[in-house]
Amino acid sequence: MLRQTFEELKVSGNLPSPPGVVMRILKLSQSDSHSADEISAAIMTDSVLTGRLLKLANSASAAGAQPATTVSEATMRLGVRAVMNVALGLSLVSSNRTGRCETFDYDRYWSNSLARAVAAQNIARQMRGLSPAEGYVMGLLCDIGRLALASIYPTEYAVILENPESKVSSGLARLEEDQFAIDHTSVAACMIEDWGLPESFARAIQVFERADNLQPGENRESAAMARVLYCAHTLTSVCLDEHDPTLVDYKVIAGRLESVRTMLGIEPEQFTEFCKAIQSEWIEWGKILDVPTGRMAMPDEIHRRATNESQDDVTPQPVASEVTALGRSEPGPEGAKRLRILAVDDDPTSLRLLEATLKKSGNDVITASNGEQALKLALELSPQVVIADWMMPEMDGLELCKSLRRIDYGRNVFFLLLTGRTEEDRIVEAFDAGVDDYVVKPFNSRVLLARIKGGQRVVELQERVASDRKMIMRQVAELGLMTRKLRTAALTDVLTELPNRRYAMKRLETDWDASGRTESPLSVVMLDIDHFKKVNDTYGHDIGDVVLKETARILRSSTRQGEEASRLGGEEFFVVCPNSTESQAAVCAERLRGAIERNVIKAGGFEGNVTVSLGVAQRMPGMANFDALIKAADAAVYASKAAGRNRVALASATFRKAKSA
Amino acid sequence: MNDSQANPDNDAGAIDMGVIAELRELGGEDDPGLLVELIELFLADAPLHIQEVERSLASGDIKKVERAAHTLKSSSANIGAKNLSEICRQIECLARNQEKDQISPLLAATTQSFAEVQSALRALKG
Repeated sequence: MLRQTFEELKVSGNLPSPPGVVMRILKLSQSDSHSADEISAAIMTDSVLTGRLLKLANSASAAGAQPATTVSEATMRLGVRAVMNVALGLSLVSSNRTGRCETFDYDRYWSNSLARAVAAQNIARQMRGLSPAEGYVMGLLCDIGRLALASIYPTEYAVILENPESKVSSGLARLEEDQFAIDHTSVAACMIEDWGLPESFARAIQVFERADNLQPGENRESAAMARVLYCAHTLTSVCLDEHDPTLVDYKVIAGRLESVRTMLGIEPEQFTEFCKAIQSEWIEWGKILDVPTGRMAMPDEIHRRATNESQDDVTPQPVASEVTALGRSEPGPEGAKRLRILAVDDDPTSLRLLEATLKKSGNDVITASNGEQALKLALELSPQVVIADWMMPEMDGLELCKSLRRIDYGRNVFFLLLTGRTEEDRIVEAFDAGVDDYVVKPFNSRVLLARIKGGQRVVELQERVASDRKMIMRQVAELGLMTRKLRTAALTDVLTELPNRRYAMKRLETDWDASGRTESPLSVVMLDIDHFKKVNDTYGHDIGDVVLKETARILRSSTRQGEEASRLGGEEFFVVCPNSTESQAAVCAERLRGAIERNVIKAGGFEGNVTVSLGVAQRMPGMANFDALIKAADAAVYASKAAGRNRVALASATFRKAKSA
Repeated sequence: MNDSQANPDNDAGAIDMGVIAELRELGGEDDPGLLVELIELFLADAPLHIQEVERSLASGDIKKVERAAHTLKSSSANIGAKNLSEICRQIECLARNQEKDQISPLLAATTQSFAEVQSALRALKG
């Protein structure tokens, strides 16, 4: 069901996605016959990526090792899998720096993700058993679900983020679930799997927030990754969050930090050093990826604060936004058609002249003096037209054009090449590389402007097509949302918002099959509100509804992980307890009974509590199907009522009695 | 005003005054410093390219000769230095055809032409 929901999100076309070169690398890796050389070659077509990858290979390797200087060396050192994952992570940072969701702080998102990435890298090295480079990537991506939802539903997500409940991860997940029928961790896990990263990593994303208390059955690799992510997440959220001193108990924060330190097995004296190293790498990476960074609160400061309650200087500086929105222009006055043009030339005189000419004719101009800078600016500022000189050192105009054509945005940009040479072969080569037009250098300004005007027509047409397409995609996404809501509605009880009987039976069927396969125990609890009819008759149906809703609320909050409550109908509820014996389920039943008994309900003329009678049954070898299990639980409820209500009865005991009677 | 500007015939061959007039017009009222800025950029940058041509020719890196000549060709044309641009075009052509020996004689002409351009532009800048 989750998978289906995710596929629907994918259709909207707004999921953050890596640029073409990385998609190619991922595809290559998914075929059986890829070689390390092929992958190195693919990476090297992107020089920016190559530089960042080498940086990571060197920072991820042990101190004192010879630095890697080529992509093949990096591939050898990190392993093919890690290299591809790193390529993916790094490319996402540069291509998703801004977006349309107004209350989503994109800079802060990437800043925190980067800190978590660096922390995860260091933590993976400390814990051993996992590649530090993969720790880095997963640290970077484990929160990508939030970015994805903000990209797909910018308006709805902006509203969710304004709700104070969204400040806590579980609260956010609930709001997301209500609105989109999927939450950010599930989206992230699906995306990770979709990109061909190991399934165990996707699993790690879903469980890492409770990695201090993992189920023993967890797969080894996913458990290890979950622990790395848990530590990295806790460490960065403790050290980076701007705590409000009036709300936060520093003792609690220091305690969380301490639990990380113990998991890592680092001595208290060395822990601050460990965090300092993370901070300086974070700042270094921030410079490379142009992501703002700030100051982290160090463990010794937090400890001091927890013990002294002296409240100075601990709150870290808010993340400074250093990224300037250079050149991102509003449409000109009176609908005048200004174009956003990126001009690229390594010769300063020509570049200045080009800039002056373009500005004179009323366009917004961004300039770059080499191909790499141009590529970066193009990704950040999405100009509509790029004018580039052909001959430039390092990345020349044609390579720039090819790189742009490989990414989503770059396919629509109007690319005008400046060239001093007009031999037929050269011109053909340029068009083959994907340029839209060319102008001969030194350019005549009237000719240049005429060509740009031609380009403007193309740009406008493409923008119209793109906006139509977007609108259709949005409609598809909304339709998907509606379908999901309907599907959820069909399985939800309207009054109590618990799953309904249909859902309960489906769920039980799944658990029944699983317990048959794995030979693990399966138990159910059935419960019935005592004297409910009397409440209804005395106080009216409205009060009866309140009692039902209150009982549902207590069931929801008192069930533990794995146990799931549903309303079968009337005053009858049901809880399925997978992997539980009858006596374990009886503990659950007693917990529910006590909680309901203690809960005082006030509504209209009614003030007091209600009680429930519960029956517990375990799957027994003789049972033909799950109906038999339900019948056994039902019989136990009867026994409980007969014995005086407000108590738990076991099917096994009922059985024995029936036999002996 | 100094002598060279008072007597434009002196440098008539070095700089095309039509191009200068266009640049002045391009700057117009919005960007009155454009011409001076372009001249300064060019005067700072061109000697580097000339040196690059000489150095790369000496070390036999003909590809770099071609590139430096190419860049200088267009920037000098931008500023109206027709003669210099033409010399650079020849060097670029020779370099592309690997005719290394024929480039050396053009080096002196390049330096000479640049000197003329330089004094003409400095005069224009005032």
